[in-house]
Amino acid sequence: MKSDALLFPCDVELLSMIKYIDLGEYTIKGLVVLENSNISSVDEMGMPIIDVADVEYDAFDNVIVIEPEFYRHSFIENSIKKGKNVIYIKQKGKEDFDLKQLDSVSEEQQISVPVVFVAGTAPYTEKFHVQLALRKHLLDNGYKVSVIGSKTYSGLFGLHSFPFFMYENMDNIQKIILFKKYVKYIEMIEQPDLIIIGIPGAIMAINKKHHFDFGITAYMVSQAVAGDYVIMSMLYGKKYTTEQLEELSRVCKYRLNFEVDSFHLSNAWLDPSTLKDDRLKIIKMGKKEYDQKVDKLYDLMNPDDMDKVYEDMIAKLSSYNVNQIF
Amino acid sequence: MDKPFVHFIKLHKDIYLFDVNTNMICKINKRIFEYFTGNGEREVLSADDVLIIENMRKCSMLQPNKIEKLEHPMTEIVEDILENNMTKLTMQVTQNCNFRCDYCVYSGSYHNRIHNNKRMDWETAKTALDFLCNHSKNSAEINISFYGGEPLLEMELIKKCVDYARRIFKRKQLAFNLTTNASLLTDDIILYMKKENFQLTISLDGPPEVHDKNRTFSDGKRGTYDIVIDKIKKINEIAQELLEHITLNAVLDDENDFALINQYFTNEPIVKHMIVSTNYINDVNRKDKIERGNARNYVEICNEKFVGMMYLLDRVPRESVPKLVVREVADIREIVYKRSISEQVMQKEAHPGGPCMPGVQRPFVNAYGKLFPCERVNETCEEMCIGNIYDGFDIDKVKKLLNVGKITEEICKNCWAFNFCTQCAVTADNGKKITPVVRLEKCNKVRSHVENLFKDYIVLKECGCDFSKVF
Repeated sequence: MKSDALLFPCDVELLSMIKYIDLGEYTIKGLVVLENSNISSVDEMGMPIIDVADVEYDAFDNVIVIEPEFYRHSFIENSIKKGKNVIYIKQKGKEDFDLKQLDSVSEEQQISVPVVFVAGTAPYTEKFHVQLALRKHLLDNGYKVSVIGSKTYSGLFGLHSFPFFMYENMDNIQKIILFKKYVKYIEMIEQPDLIIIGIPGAIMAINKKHHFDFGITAYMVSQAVAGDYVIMSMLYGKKYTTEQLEELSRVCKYRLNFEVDSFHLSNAWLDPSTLKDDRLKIIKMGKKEYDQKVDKLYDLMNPDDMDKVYEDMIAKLSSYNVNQIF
Repeated sequence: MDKPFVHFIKLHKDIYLFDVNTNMICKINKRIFEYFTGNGEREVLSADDVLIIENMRKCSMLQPNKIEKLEHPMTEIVEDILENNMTKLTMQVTQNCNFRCDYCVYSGSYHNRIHNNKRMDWETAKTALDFLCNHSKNSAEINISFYGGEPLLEMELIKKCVDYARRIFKRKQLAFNLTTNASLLTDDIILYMKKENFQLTISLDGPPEVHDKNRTFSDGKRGTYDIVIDKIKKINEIAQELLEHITLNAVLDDENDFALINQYFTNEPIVKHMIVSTNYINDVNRKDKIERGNARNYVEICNEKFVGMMYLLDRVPRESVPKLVVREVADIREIVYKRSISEQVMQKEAHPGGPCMPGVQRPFVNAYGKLFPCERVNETCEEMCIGNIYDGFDIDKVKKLLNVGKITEEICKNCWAFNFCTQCAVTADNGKKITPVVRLEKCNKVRSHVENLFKDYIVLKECGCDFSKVF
C-alpha cells in the first residue's frame, strides 16, 4: 500500500510535469514551495500547494527532497527533528550508484539496443518534457524503455539521472569510457527495447558570454554512445526554415557524429537584448506558431506531432533490423 | 559593384570604416577612403590596400544594405509577451505636486498634462495591481514603482497598494520603487520605506544656488534645497541603511556651472557617498527651445570625461572618476564595446534601435487607469496610450509604437546609425500625434552622439584599452 508524502521543493517547471511522477511506494499529497517560487494557483491540478513557512508538521509523515542543495534546508532539518521520514531523491531507487558495478562491463562491449538522444540548442527548451512524453508514448505502445534523464531529479519519474561521475573532477576520456559502460550496464540489467538519453544543457554556446559548457557534455555523450535517432529541442522562433535546420543538422554531424531526425520547437523564447547581460532572459510563450511546411519541425507537446515523430522513429529504428550484417 | 553600407569616421589624421551590416570597425587609409567614396578605380590602391579590402570582405564586411523592410523582430510575439510576462508597473498615484519645478514636464512648458488635483483612487489602484498580476503569470520578479506628481501626497494609498501587492504576489520576488522630491518624508515614512525595502529616487540638482534655481515650492518663490537636504540628513540619522537604496537624480541645466555641481556631488559630506544619476533638461515635447552651448561647461565636461577614460586605461583609480560623467563614459563600453559583431547583425527585416517593448520595459498607468509605454510620454497624445487596465492592451497601438520607424522607413533604412538609434515614439510626438517631421528633426543629433561615442571608443582602443574595467 502506498504511503502519502510531501514533495519539496516544487517549482513551476516541476509542477508542469507532475503527471509523470512515479515514486513507487509513495503518493504525492502536497507540494511544498519556497518563497518566490512563482507558483500562482492555490490548488494546482487538485494538489495542495503549501508555502514552506506554513507547513504543519502534524499533517505529514513523509517528505521527499528532490535536490541535494535543499537537503540541509531548515524545513528538512525540522522534519528530521520531529521524527518525519525524509527521502532523498538521489537515493530513491537507482541513484546511489557504485562505480565498481561498472567493472562487470568491458570497454569493448557495444550497446545492442537502439539509442535515442534528446538534446537541445539551449537549456530550458523542454528537453525533459520531451523525454517524459516520448517515454510514455513508448510505454503505452508496449515497449520497454530505459531512460537516462537530463535532470538531477530524474529519479522522481522512475528514470535514471544523468550519472554523477559526468560532473566530477575526472579526466574526460575516463568519463566517456564510463558513460558508455553505464549505458551498457543499464541495458544489461533492464533489457529494454530501447534507451532514451537526455543530454543536459546545450550542444553549443550561444555566445562567448553564455557558453553553458561549450557543448562538452554533449560531445562526451556522442563519443561514448551512437545515437540512432536524435531529437533536437530548439528555442522558440516563428521563422525557422528548412535550410536553417539542415545547417544545424550538418553542424551536429561534423561536431557530434549524429544528424538530427526531428526538431522540437520549445516554448522558450530568448530575449536577444539580454545576450550581453549576465543573465539571459528566457520567456515562456503561451502558444507556439510555426511554419508547418518546414521539414522535421514539430511541437512534441502536441499529441499529433508526437504521433508523427513516434512513427518516424519506430520506422527508422525498425529499418536497422532489416539487414543482418556480421 | 553594389555600394557597401558603410560610414566613415575621421579622427585627426586617421580614417575608420564602420560597416553597418556587421558593426565592425576597420582602420583604413586615404587611398581606400577615396576608392570607396570616389570613382572606385582600383589603380589608386596599393597591393596592401587590396589585401585590406579583401580581408574585410572575408569578414563579411562591405556588403550592400541588407535591409528590405522595417519590422521590429518582436512584433509577432509581443501579444504573447504582454499576456503572461509583464514584470513591472509604474503607478501614477497623483497628478498633484507641492513643488513647481521649471523644467517639470507637467509645468505647462511641455506638450503634456499639467499639475492638477487628480488622484488615483483605491479601486483604480487595485485594478491596476490585479492587471499586473493577471499578466505576469510567468514572471518570478515583480517591480512596482510609485510616481506622481509627488507620490508622497498619497502615502495611505501607497501603503494599501504595498499590502495588497504582498498578498497577490505572494510567491514572487517583489520590489518597490518611489520617485520623490523628498520634502514630505516624515520619520514614519522613512522607517516604513526602510521596512518595506523601497528603492528611492530623490531629486537633487546640486548646491543650493543650483537646486533652487529650478526647483521651488508651489508658490514659485521659495527654494527647496534646505528641506531636501534636511530629509536626507534625517534618513542618515534614523535609517542609515536606507541610504544605500537611494539614487539622487540631478537634472542638469546648461545655464548652471557644471564644475560647481560636480564639486558639490564629489565633496559635500551628506551626498558624496550616494549614487547620482544625471540627465539634461528634457527637450522632447518642449513647447519652446532649450538653449545649449555653454562653452565653459562643455570644456569642463570634456575634462571630467577624460578622467573617466583614464580610469578605463587603468591610469587613475575609480574614485577619481567624477560621478556626473560616469554614465557617459560607461556608455562607451556598454554601447560600443559590447555591441554585437557578426555577419548576422543586420537582417532583411529589422528595426532601428531605440523603441522599448511597450508594456514590458517600463509600463506606466496614470491616475485614470490608462496605460502608456513609460512615464515620460505625453499623456494627452492618444497615440501614446496603449490601452487601459479595464480593457487590456491595445495590441495594434503597441505594435505601432514598437515599429515607430515605419513612419520614416526609407530614411531609417539607409541610416548608418541604424543599430544605435535611441529614438522612440516619444521623440516623434508633436504634442498631438506621432509625425515623421518631428522624428527626423532629432536624427542629426542622434548620429552626432553615436559618432562621438565611436570616436571615444576608437581612441581608447588605439591607446590599448581592453575595456575590462567596469563602473
